[in-house]
Amino acid sequence: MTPSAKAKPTEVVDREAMADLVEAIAARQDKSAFAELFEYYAPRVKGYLLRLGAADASAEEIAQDVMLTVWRKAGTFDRTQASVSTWLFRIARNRRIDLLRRESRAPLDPEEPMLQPAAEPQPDDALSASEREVRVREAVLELPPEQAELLHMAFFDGKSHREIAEASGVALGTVKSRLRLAFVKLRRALGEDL
Amino acid sequence: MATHLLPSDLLYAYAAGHCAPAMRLLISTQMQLCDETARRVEELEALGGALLERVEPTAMSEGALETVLARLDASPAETSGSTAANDDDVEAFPAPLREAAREALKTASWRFAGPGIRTLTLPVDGHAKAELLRIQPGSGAPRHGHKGAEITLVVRGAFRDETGVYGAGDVSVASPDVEHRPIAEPGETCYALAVTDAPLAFTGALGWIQRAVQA
Repeated sequence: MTPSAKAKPTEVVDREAMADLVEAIAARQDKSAFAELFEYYAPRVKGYLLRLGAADASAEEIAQDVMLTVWRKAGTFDRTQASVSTWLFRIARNRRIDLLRRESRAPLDPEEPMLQPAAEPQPDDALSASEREVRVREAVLELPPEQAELLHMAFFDGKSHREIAEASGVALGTVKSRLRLAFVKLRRALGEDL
Repeated sequence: MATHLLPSDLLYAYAAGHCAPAMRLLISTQMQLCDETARRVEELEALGGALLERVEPTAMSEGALETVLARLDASPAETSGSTAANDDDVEAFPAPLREAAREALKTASWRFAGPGIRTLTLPVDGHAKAELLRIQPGSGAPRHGHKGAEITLVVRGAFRDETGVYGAGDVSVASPDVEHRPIAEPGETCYALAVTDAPLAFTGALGWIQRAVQA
């Protein structure tokens, strides 16, 4: 899976700077701050929507709507609770549900093994929201590209194991074990028992 | 099988946006009542944020930024929803549920469903159904899942069923082959949100609820 020559190289975004930009919008309707956010996030939100199968025109329109929502709701962003990326992901996810009205109805596959039991409630010294953000992000950044792509397909696209195997040409068993591994890494990063 | 928390698979589906609307309503409401659920969902949303940073960017159309900038000025101020409230208890619900109940009460009212029991069907798109239950202390009625499990979130008060006692923020997952009979505990009126046909609401590599229910 080689990156296209036209795509920007993966930038490691400065999350503090992004949070400053959103706060600038909330505080004084700062349009140049908005333009910076737009430049980084709009193409990624569009990329996310295209993954979900939206046509180019819809993805474009929804991505613009999401950025408009960022402007309108900048006052609700709380940097102690989530990163801008997480906050924006929520907005994009909710818009996608509203506008694409996607509801999975694939037949249930008895081979799906990704069942997790309900987690034990975490002790009082559980991570703060910002620590959690940092750890999750590091864990995701460390994933090799093919594992990140698997997570994109499972988490973002909602593909079943079988669909992922077909789309990627990877054996079904390998898909399952790699996904399991990715989640194990995530749980470890969060300091949770497995 | 009883659990006071939802299995992770449901929370994955919610966090990723693959949930049926009825289940989304239940989980978003539970997040406001139960810190543990909020924490688990927020972890997954943090995953969504980190994955968003790794998505291959696709260039927006030319002039997209200017188009949006022009819309910023025209964009109306955020207004709070109309407060046509005709049910004081509903007003105290967590926001997602309050909005859905207000919407339902515009065209429907609480229906008699047995002594001490009323129900309000909530308008949700899609396959799964959402119903608000209002049960007076000591009252209760058998509920059957039809094609699948019924997942019930207690919003206020508490009920007891064959598997235990559930208070605000707890969920009871009832499998279709067991008669589920919640009886409201003494004290305040019990309000609960019941989502049915839940297993058909989920799919994907991140699992589905039916197994959890039959465990």
